[in-house]
Amino acid sequence: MFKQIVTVLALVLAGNFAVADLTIEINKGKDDPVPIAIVPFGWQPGVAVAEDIASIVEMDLHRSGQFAPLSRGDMLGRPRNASEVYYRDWKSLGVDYVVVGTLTQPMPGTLMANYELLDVNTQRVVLTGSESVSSDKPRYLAHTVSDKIYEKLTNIRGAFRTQLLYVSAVREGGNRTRFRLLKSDIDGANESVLFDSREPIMAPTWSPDGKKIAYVSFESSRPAIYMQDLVTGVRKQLTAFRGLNSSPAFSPDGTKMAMVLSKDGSPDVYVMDLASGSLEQVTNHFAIDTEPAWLPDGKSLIFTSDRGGKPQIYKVQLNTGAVERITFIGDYNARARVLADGLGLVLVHRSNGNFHIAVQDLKRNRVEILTSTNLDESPSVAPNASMLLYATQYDGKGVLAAVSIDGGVKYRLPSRFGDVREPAWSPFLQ
Amino acid sequence: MQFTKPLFLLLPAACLSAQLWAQAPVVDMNSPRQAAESGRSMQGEIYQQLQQLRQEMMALRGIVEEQEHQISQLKQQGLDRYIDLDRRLGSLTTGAAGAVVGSSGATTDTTIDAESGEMLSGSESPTVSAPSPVIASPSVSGPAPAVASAGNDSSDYTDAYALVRSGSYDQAITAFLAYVERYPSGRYTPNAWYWLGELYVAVKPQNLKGATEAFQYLLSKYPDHDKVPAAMYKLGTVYFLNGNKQKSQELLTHVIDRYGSTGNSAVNKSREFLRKNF
Repeated sequence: MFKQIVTVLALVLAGNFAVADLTIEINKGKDDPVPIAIVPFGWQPGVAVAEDIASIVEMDLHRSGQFAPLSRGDMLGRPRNASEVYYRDWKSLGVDYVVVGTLTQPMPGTLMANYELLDVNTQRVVLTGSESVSSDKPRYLAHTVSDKIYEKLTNIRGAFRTQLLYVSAVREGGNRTRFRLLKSDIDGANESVLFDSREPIMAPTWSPDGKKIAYVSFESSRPAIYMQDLVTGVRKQLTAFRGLNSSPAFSPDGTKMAMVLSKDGSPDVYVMDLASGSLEQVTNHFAIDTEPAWLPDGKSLIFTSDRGGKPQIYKVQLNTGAVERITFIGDYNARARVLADGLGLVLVHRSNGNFHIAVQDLKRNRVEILTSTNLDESPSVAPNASMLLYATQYDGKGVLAAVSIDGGVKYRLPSRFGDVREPAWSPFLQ
Repeated sequence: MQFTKPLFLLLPAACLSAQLWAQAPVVDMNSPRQAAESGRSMQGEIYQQLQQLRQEMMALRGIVEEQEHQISQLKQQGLDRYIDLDRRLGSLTTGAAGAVVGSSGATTDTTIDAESGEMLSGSESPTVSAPSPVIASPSVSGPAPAVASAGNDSSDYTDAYALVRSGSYDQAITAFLAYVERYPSGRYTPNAWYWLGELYVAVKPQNLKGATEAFQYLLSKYPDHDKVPAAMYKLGTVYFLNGNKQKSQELLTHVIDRYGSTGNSAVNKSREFLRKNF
């Protein structure tokens, strides 16, 4: 449990928006992470890179909790390709795998990494790769290498090139607060402001292709759902009904948006066709129905309702309208998100009066509590279902934290300014 | 957005005043004003009753849902039991009774002899007090517990660890004891000992003796394991809880001296503990 505390100031490339750069702190490690050495990459004469590629790869793998990178100080050599590797040296350091690589500039404006992953025990090259990006995206190049290595060694698709949406609130004197909708790489780097406002911003969410986002904004002093194109920056107001307009959720095919409206009295779940703007009411109950999330097949939704007296998760079939309760453990289950395989939920679960993030196995109907602090909320799952992000409190501030789906690894991403909340992990973006 | 119930909290409050109105005796129905008021109070009363009915219905709905769920679980359990029984009967009649053995036969001897008495190089080591068979005994007496195990090192450990995560500490202790018994040199045996140490402190009532022995065993048997710094730190805190402040201080100081350069989190924790308590 008490493995290592590593604090790394995530570099913010988009310096103009250094609003809330995140600090990563790993506070809980896995029992048996794979020892791996990421040797600093060599480079062709004349190639200057602003980022330490190997160090980014190292942090990526470390944050996954499944790897224990060897510290550079302990390395006995700096090989740049497989032929320069003395396996015996690495074996004596207890390392299972070694990554070596070289950076080149095949043409102006392009940065290329040629790298090899070596198995120290069998003394063989298990992966040879070559990736290139435009030279202003060295971090992306590093994350690509991380993805390939992670995938090779775990058989799970890497999610290091994904991004993160979150909302920050910064007090600005008096009663004024500035709200910002931010986007960053998954390690907190490359943070940029997508929208800012003096009124609250809530519930940001990604479209399945990662090209659009939707969120609730109070900019017109009433809640309304907006959709924003990440490429063009164009915003479109989807709803402005009387009462609640909340919890937007894109359907898996991206053509529809589930949402919660209270225009007819109590909050109910609706689905809007994004092309035509037509609305279809999905639930109709005098209790509160809210926080819809799609199942992967797009044929049913889950939502939170207190129709049974206490908030619990229900599932509704879109074609029949049939509603079925699916959580039975605990007196409070809410804000559920579906794992990519559809077999599990992550949700906010209350036990012994404390709110935690938990995973519910839908087949075996088992609940596992993943987080230990008191007020954990808004879980959002990585597209490869290896980790999830959530909002919590630390040192009296709203911070984001991540935990692996088996509870074995945890790290915090505290912001340096203001409160950060409502994280949304993007889908795979490439 | 966070799930709240503001709507329903507001509505009954609004009706409360209406209810008070209703209690005022209404006599003169000829007065149009009073008639209007009585109509309004009637409306209020009906509204309030409607709210009560709604809440009652929601509570009942909750109970029905839960009972429905329990019934379907019971049905499934009944079926599972029947299938299990049928399988056992079947194997009995075919004479292959031996196929359904429990795990009791495979008990390995877990008497712990702290063979390498020297635990901490250099400084005066906290004595590893001879063999400590007590560790295995608190909840497991005699033969191994009849835990139906899949017989897989990794999955047994994961199952035991899952019990820690779900907060079932007593069961976790039983599971880890079973684990170290079944896999005396398993891949996760040191980790299991570590967790036993932690769990003995976490359970109520605490079993500090058990915790001490589990940590000491881990330290003596696996001096190079990853968990050693953490175990030393924990053992230091257990000594402290036991009132053995000198040993506690010695051990925590040793953690800082020995692992200070590695950046292991046990170092900072030891420092903090010393600062707070000494």
